[in-house]
Formats: sequence, structure tokens, C-alpha cells
Amino acid sequence: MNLSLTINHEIQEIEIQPRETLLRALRRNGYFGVKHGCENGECGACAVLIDGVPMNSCVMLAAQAEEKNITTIEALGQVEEQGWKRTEGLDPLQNAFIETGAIQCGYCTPALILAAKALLEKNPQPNENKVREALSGVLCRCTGYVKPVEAVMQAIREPRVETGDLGIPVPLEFFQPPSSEISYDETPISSLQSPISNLHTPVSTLPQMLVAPTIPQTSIVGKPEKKVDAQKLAQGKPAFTDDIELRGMLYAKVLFSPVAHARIKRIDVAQARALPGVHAVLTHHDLPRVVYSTAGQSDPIPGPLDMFSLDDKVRFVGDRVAFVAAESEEIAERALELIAVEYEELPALIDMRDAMKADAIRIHDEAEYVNFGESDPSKNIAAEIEFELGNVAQGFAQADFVLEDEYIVPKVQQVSIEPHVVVTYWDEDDRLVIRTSTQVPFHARRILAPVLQLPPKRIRVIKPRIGGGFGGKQEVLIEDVAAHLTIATGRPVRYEYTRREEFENARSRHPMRVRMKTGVLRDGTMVANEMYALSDTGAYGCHAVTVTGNTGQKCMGLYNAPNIKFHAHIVYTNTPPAGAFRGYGVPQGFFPLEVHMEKIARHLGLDPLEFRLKNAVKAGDELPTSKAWSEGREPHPEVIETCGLAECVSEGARAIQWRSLQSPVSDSKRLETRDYPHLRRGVGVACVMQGTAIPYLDMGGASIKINDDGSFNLLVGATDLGTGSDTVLAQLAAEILGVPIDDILVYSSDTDFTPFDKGAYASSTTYISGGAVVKAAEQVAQQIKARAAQIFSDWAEKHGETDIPRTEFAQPETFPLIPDPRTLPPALRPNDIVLRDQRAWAPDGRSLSLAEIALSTLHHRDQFQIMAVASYVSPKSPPPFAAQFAQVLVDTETGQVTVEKLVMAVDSGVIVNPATASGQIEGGMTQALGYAVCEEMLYDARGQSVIRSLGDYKIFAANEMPELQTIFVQTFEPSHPFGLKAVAEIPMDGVAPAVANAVYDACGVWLNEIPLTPERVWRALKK
Amino acid sequence: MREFDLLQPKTLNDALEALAQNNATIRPLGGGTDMLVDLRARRVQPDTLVALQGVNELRGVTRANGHLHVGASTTIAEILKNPLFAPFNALRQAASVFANPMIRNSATIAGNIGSASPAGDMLPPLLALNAQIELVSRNETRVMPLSEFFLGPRKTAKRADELISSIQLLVTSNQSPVSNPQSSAFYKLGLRQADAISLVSVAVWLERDGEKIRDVRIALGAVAPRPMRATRAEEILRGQIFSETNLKESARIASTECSPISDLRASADYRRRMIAVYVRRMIEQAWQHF
Repeated sequence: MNLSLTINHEIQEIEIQPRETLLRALRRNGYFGVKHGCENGECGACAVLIDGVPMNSCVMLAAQAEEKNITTIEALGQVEEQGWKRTEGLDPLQNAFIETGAIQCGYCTPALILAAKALLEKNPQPNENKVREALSGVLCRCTGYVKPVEAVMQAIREPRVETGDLGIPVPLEFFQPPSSEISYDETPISSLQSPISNLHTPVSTLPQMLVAPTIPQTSIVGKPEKKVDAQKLAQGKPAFTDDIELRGMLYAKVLFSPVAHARIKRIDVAQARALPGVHAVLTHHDLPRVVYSTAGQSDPIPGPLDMFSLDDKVRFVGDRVAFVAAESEEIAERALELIAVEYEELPALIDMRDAMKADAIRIHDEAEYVNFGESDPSKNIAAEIEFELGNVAQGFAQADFVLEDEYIVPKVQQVSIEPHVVVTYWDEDDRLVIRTSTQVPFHARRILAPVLQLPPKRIRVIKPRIGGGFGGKQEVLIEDVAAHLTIATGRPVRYEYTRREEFENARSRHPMRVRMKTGVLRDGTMVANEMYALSDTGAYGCHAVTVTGNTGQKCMGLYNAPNIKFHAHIVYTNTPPAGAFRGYGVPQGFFPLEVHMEKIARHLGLDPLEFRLKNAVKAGDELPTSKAWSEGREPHPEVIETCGLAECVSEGARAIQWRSLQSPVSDSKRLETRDYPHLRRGVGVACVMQGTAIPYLDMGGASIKINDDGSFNLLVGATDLGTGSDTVLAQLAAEILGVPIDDILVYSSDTDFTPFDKGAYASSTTYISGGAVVKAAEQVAQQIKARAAQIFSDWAEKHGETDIPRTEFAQPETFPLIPDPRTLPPALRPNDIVLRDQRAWAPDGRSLSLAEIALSTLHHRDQFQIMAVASYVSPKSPPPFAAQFAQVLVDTETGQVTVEKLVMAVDSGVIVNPATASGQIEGGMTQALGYAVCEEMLYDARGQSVIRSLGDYKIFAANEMPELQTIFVQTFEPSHPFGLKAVAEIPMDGVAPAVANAVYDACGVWLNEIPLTPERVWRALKK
Repeated sequence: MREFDLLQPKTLNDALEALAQNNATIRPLGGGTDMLVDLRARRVQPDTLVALQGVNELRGVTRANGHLHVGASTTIAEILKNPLFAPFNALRQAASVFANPMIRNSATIAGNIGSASPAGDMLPPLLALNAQIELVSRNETRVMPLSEFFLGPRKTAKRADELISSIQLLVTSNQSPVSNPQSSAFYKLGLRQADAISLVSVAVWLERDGEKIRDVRIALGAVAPRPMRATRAEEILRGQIFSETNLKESARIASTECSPISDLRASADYRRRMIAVYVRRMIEQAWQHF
């Protein structure tokens, strides 16, 4: 049928299917700024304005847009300078999003901007609550909303009044705040229900920065530079995996197992293959049987090989049974229905506690299984880890007080708003191109080669922009599906998960049951610390060893007890596999550890902050666990060079007003009003640490070359998945090359063009890939300086004659007057030259522009390409440290916990970019807040997920956020040329224990299980 | 999503004609926010959808004869925007926490009622406000109390050839000296406080006569196969002095009247206890707003 409508001011007539959604129709017609994030109108990435009103285009038929006026992000504004043409430029909202650092992965950015646009059209001067409400229909998993809200407030242009020290606000209407603040219209709704307190995002969303005296002066490093990719993302440019259309492209779908554990007795695909429009149906009969691991890790993979692209056995509800490629998604779905499968059901093992029982069903009995370390599939053990430093039994014997307790942490999901998506095709050289949303393009190529029976040289992996990953895309999860189908059909194939498939089939955080036993002396000295973790890897052992190993290695390393023991079993169950998720096992360990520490401090009447600092590692200490375990490889002892934990504790405590709030549990926790007798307020803390890359293993490469105009191409294998790593790497190069960041053109990543990088994980990119960029930039700088010195010397020799026609003798204040050329030394050495302000400067004040040097080297004489390639691997993994604080309000009648404020003071070494780094902290704290209070993947007794949508699995929206505060305590880490350490993962670690400790502070009950759902808290209160 | 035919009638008559001519596999389509999800999940597989967007007779909110007539296609956002809804606080409170602001721009009141989810956000306030529902077909128009409309989870008294044409609410005015002041309130308890599937929801409506509660209606969501009235709890309060004792007793009774289930989100026990908490809190809140 035909649809006539106006799109972005143009009247159009487009051909549509009756069942086609508006989202699909718009994308099919090239409006790629409209994104797919779910199918239920719950994430908002698909927002468009319909007659000026923001709506979800995924839950609207295209036909419903008949005669409507549609606005997409493409209509808002374009970059002003377009060669000889000028446009009106970007919309103020687009500019504000770019300038405030509101864009991380950028996948939800068009929707956020459109939602804000619609609000400002109606109400040019909204207050912050109205902005938050308007943005609340668009879920962002990266930012924590601090900077997007600030962007909108900035676009309003009215200078905002700083609210100053808010202190502790008066009791908020916990369940019935006054409403006029929230409703759009002028008629007040009495007692609107919303958790919004009066949040006031400060005028600047940049974090508080504490600077160590050893940090050298820099001009670009340390500045909140705009993200190098922000401009394209603000315009909704087609930058993501799915934003291309190839001729003859087929759509893939996968038949997933409806049962948790079964053998496939018979599978009949004749009818499906016969369906018109179906080009391939593949089952385990059609594919080579190659055992592999989907974990995106360095060779050799530290874990068992236990998976096949397709197998004759299914091991969880959602395991793969067959692949289909067809001319449309609908035909492919229909084909799935025509596949007849006969299952021989086996007993399903759902509860991790049953996995090691003697009579438990064996999940992996395949002959091809390749063991790693202590894996024992006959006992459903994917991995076992054990280390002991000193002797804990002796330690406990010495202790005055021993506390033992058990803790439970749930399975949660990464929930990048861009789902897993891949497009594969054969190129003209018969090489398979895999365009995929991945954190690990190079690992993907290596891992897929044997599975596809192609040599790596015949595979090219392209990583375009990524719409968030958080570890979920450190997995070679769906690339093989499209690749097998391209091999089968010879045609391009696109495969994308639906949101439901994400929840039922994609990876997640390992759930664990953790037993802690800690012995202390009366004065609080820890003498023995022991952790046992039972970890559930689900049906496959991807990341099994390394995630749980990090639980022990990072968490048990924070407190320097003379006797430390860690033991873990990582078991198989018939549930969807767990994998990598920001924090990588460490949040699972810090919830038990830090609640346990709080209990001990409270029991002994010790100050919780002093007790922690007394036992925590310090600079100069050997990290106790460094010699015990390292990612399933050989451990190397490591001395901690920098540790700002004590400063983090004191700065964080000041920010949360610790001393005035934290007190023995008593009636003083009641709010000072008779209207809210059931509300209690409290504060809590947790100290945490993470690592920075994997020592002796993680490698990143970078190449830099100069262009005619003195700009540079920086090619990196590093994988910016929204974190801002492209920007940070460009800053490091720009600092060394003396140019503004605009002169660094970053490209990441493509296995054909960019040097190897292990990928985005383990908080490593700025440190490792940044190390490579620094080395490459230094070599390029040296080449530039050599040519500059040569030109200056020649010029002196010729007494004023020069081969540089346009040399300008600039005279900055810091330089003396131009000397008489006859007095100049005959030759300058390269190291005499300084690169600054896009120029090469001689000590006497003469200078050459980099463009002049580029033209000289590329065209004029002794021609060569100024360029360098370098790589970096570190013998250290310097830990960042942090103190995380939470302030909560507990409703003792219902068990509802409202987190009012989160503070994180973190020592991540030198901060390269305060805007992107605080964006990481804010986004990480927000994900961690979900882990603390509401996120949880649940399965019924048959192993069927009850979580199928973002309605079932709530992630925080803009109008539900607590106040977030970030403080960077900068140290100079000597193992890196710029003194930096990691930022990305550590904010995940301490929010859950800080919130649980705050709940105890508020109302005197301990919670050993997260998330702190209302019913869990209520039950604890009832006891 | 299976294939279907899409009809886009411009008049109510054409829409009703289409419904009358087709068999049971025809479905009306409002904003689409529930329907498209159901189609994709294959919970419904109609041969034909009748899009009602172009039917002007189903639009509009008017006040006449002491009633507010709310057209079926009225969006949730409009309930928040239109001052005619000012007297219906509970309804506006429910609208303000309905899904998210973008969905509210598409979703219609008739769509939420027609879906008949036991946890549908708009249903308890409509029950508490004693809404009437008007159903039309080619041959007849019938009006019934909304309380009789819901038969079970996703089951209603609407026949396949019928459309919901409007909702009617009795308008009372606090300004009018002859009628008693009235007030209402709503709360939804979710895993977080906004934008979540409710664990329980409570709506109450009160009419005040001095220190007495002259009349009261209490409606509960997500704690029975369909949204329900807690009539025995109402009896405790009706005609009585507003007192802490009565309030507690009524809340206790309400929690025994419902029949919540235990699932992975919350236990039946917890849901019952929360009904008691929120019935008490909502009555207090409504009383405070006189």
C-alpha cells in the first residue's frame, strides 16, 4: 500500500506493507537516525516527532502516519561548513549535547535530542524536573543522564542559578511529591506519584578534580575536550552496524530451544526450505562440528572449549537449534515455525547448588570438549580456582573475632541499547566481511576462522560505531550465524537480536553465592580473610575462569591480611550462559566483602572508614593477590605504586556529609517530621579497587601518519564502544604532536587497516592502547622534528634563502626577538625543536607550520611519509581505588529503598578527559544502582526466562535518578607516560554494598542478597 | 508478525460496518502501543485490523449533563493536559505514571481498558470513579458500569462487533455548594517508583460530609484476575467518622478481599500487606485534599 506523509518538511509517498512499523519504514527509506532498541516502546531509541509530539515509531504501524508530519533527527541541523556551501548549522540542542559530553555511545542521542526538542517547543524554559520527565521516555545505559540533562538546560541558554550547598534536603514527599513540578500542563495534579526529588544538576557537570603535585603540565591531556565522534552522533549519521543496506541482503533468524536440556532426536526442515523467499535453513547436520569458546579473549582462550555453532544437544531455553536466511524477517520467522523438531528431553539443572551433586545430570558430555585448568565436565565444573596466601586456619585461631556469613548476588544483563547486530558479505576478493557490533574485532576474526573453516586472512572484521557493550559484546555471540548463512547463500546477511532475544539468549553477569569468613583482632587488625564463591556460568563456560578469578584476585587483594584464601567453583547449569559484564566478577565479590566489613566494624564499635583504611593496601605494598592468580595465566607479583584510597575516603565522606549523618542506629534516623513516621534515612560506604588491563598479555597497537595539511590519521585497533576512547587516544596524540584534537582523525577499527588491539575490556584502552598511541606519536614527533631541524639548519646555512616559501616568523611572547641569521648555530638537533600550536619551533623563535613540514616531506625534497606504528604491553596492572557512598531513604512499611545520592571519589591516576571520565563514572554508578536495587534476571523452574522486555527488567530512567557526584583524586601512576590508570569498571563495584550498608544505617537490618527489592527489605524489617 | 489486512475507516459507521461484516479475527487498533506488542508476541493473530485513528466520532472530551464524556481515542497524555480532568485526581495520578511520556502520547484510554490487563494502570482509578463504559455496534449502543466490563485477564464483555466509544465520568464540583466535596487518589507500587509494572495498585474515591466519609470506593489492581472493588472494605468506612481505627480496619479488610498470586516478582503475602498499607495511605491522602 502507499503512504503519503511529510518527512522532515518534504511531502513523500512511500510504499509500505500493512504490518510494517513506522520504525522499519523510516529506516528502509534511509532515515537511519531512528534506532531500534526494543520492540515494545520501552527504550525510546526509535523516537520521532509526529506533528511535533514525540512517539515511539516501533509500536506504531507506518500506515498510522498517513498525512502526518514526521520529524527525525536528520531534520534538525547539519554541520555548518560544507565545502563552498554553508548551512544554518547544528541545532542549539545538538551543540549542547556535543559540548557537555552528553553523548557516549550516541545510539539514544537522536531520541534524547528529539524528546528535548519537543519539550522546548512547548515550554522554552522548563525546570530540571520537567526536562528529566521529558527525557524519561528514552533509556540511556551509558550516561546516568547527568550530562544529557545538563545539555538541555544549557540549550535553554538562561544562566542557571547555582543552588549552592544543598545539604540534606527537607523530607521529600517520598511517595507523593507535589506535582506541579512534574505535570506538563498548568492544572496541578495533587500528589503526583514520582520519586523525583528536587534534583539540581550543578551548573557544570564536570567532576571535582584533586591534583597531585607530581602531575606535569599538559595542554590537551586533562582537558574536557569534545568527543571526536560527537558531531556525527548528534546528527544521527548512519554510523552503526545496521545503518547500511546491501543489494540482495537476506535476513537471518534463529530457532531457539523451548526446553532447557534435550537431545535433538529429529529435525525436519523440508517445509521451511520450500517456503518462497527462504534461501537457507541450516541445522547441526549442515555445519562442520568445530568446538570453540565465544569468549573474546587472547590466545589461548583461558577457559574450556565447549560450544558449537549448532549442536545435536540443547543446553538452555534459548539455545540454538537452526538458522534461517530469507528475503524478509517475516518470511524468516514463518520459516522457523515450519521447522519440526523432536526433542528427547533431559532433566534440567537450573539451581547452581544442584550442579555438583552426585546424581546431577551431566550437561557437557560431548567428545570434543577441551578442558582448561581444573574444569571437569563430568561434575559440571567449568572451572575451579583456589589460592591461599599464608594460612587462614592459623589466622582464624589468632583472631579475637571471627565473622562468617553468606551472600547472594543475582544474574543481571548489560543491556546495551543497541542490540547485538551483524552484517556479513563476500567481497570481490572472496573474502568474508563481517561488519559487527563488537568489542573484540581481532579476537572475533581469530575465533571465527576455524568455526567457518576460513583462514583468518580471508576474514575482515569491521567495527563501526557501537551502541554500547559493557562486556556483552566481548563475545563472539552472533557473528557466526550470519557468516554461516552468507557462506550457504553467497548473499549478504543481516542478523540482529530482538530485545527479547537479548534477555533470553545473550550473555549476562555470573550470579554467585559467596561465603565470607573474616578474623580480626580487637583493635580491628584483620588477620585472616577467606572467600568461597559458587559461580553459575550457565550452559557454557565462556569467561568462567577469568570472571570468578577476578572476584578473588581483585576483592581479596584490597585488604592486606597476612592470611588470605580464595576458593571458587564455577558450575554449569541449564540457564543462559553468563559472560563478561563491566566489573568482570569484581562487583560480585565486593558486595559480600564490603557488607561483611561493615558488619565487623559495627560489631566491634569501630569507625567503618578507619577500620577499612587500617587494613587496606597502601602505596609501596605488594598487592597480595597479584602473586596468587592472573587471568588463568602465570601470575607476577606487583607492587602498588599509587594509592589515593585514603584521600578518596575523606573527600567522599565530606561530600556525603558522613560525620553528621552516620550514627548508631536509633530513633534519630527518623525524619524530623510527624508526617513521615515510616521513613528512615541512612548513609553507607564501600571501598573498592579494580585493575588496569591484564599485565604481560594485553597488547594494543596504533599507527599515525601525517597528511598534506599537517593533520594526522590515527588508526587504532582499540574499540570505542561509546566510552570515549577514540577521543582520549586522540588527546594523547595531540598532546605530543602539538596540535588541537581536531587535527587527529581517529579511525577504529578494521582488521584490514588498523593495527591489532586486544579490544575493549579489562579497563585497558586508555592505558594500553594509549601507551601505543604515545609511543607512535613520539616517533612521529621525532620525524617531524628531524625535518624541521634540517630545514632550519639549511636556512641558516643559506643566510636567509629558504626552500620554504611561506615561512612565517611568529614571535610569541615567550621567545626572544628573531636573531640575526648569521649568528645562528650551523645545525639544530631534532631534540631542540618543540611542537606546539600546530608548529615546529626552534629555540630561537623561528617556526614552521606542520603543513609546511608535511609538504616538504611529501612533495618537495628527500620525500618520505612521516608515520609510525607502535604497540604497547604492560608488566603492571595498576589498581584504581575508590570510596563509594550512598544516601538512602527507606520506607519501613513497604520496604522501598530510594537512593537519594551517590558519591564516588576515585583514584584513577591522571584523568585524560574529565568529561568522558566522569561520564564513565556516572554511567557506571547508574548501572551499579540497578544491580543494587532493581535489576535481576529470573527464571522459572523449567529454566524459562520470565524477563522478556525492558518492562520486565527495569533500568533507570532520567526521572528516577539520585544525585550523582564524582570526585577524581588524581595520582601520577609512574608505570604510564601520562600517569593514568583505569576508570571504566570500578564504578560498578561499590554501589550495592554502599546502599546495603546505608539501609542498615537507616533502619538496622542487614541484607545479604541483592537487589534490595521492596519485598526483600520488608521481610528483613519484619524479622 | 503475521500478515493482516488493515482498514482505515474515516467514520464510525464505516468502522462498525467493517466489524459487523467480519468474523471474530478482526480487531480494532487504537494507538497501537499494546496491539503491536501483542501482534509481535503472537498473543493475537487477527486477519484484519481496523485502525480507529481517523474516526473523529471517537475523539474529544466533552462535558455535558453532569458527565464527562471521554472519547475512546483520548490519549493518556491528554488526561494530563486537559483541564476537564482536573476533578479526577486519581485518574491523573495514574496517567502520570503510565508507562513513559512517549507511550502516553500514543496510548489511548480505550486501548488500556480493552487490553483488560489485571495490572492495567488506568483501571483502578476508573473503577474508583465509578466510570461507565459505552459500547457501540452497528445495531446497538449500550452503556454499562466499568465494573461489569472486566470478566477476567484479557477478557471483557465487549463483543467482536463492538467498539468502546467512550468512557463517562460523573462530574462533581467542589465549588458547587449543593454537592459534597469529593476527592480521589492513586498509587502504584513497582520495583521502582515510576514506569514499572505494578506489584499492586490502589485507587480510592471519597465523598465527605463534615467529619464523616459519606461515600467511598476502593479499587485494587494487580491483585486479582481483574481489577476489582474492595466493597467490604468500603463498608467499614461508608457513613463513618474518618478515624485511624476505621482506616486500619478497612485497609485490613481490603487486604483479605483480594486474591493476589505469588510470582517471582513478589509473594502473595507481600502484595496483600501492601494493599493494606496503600489503601490506608491513599484514603489519608484523599482526605487531606479536601
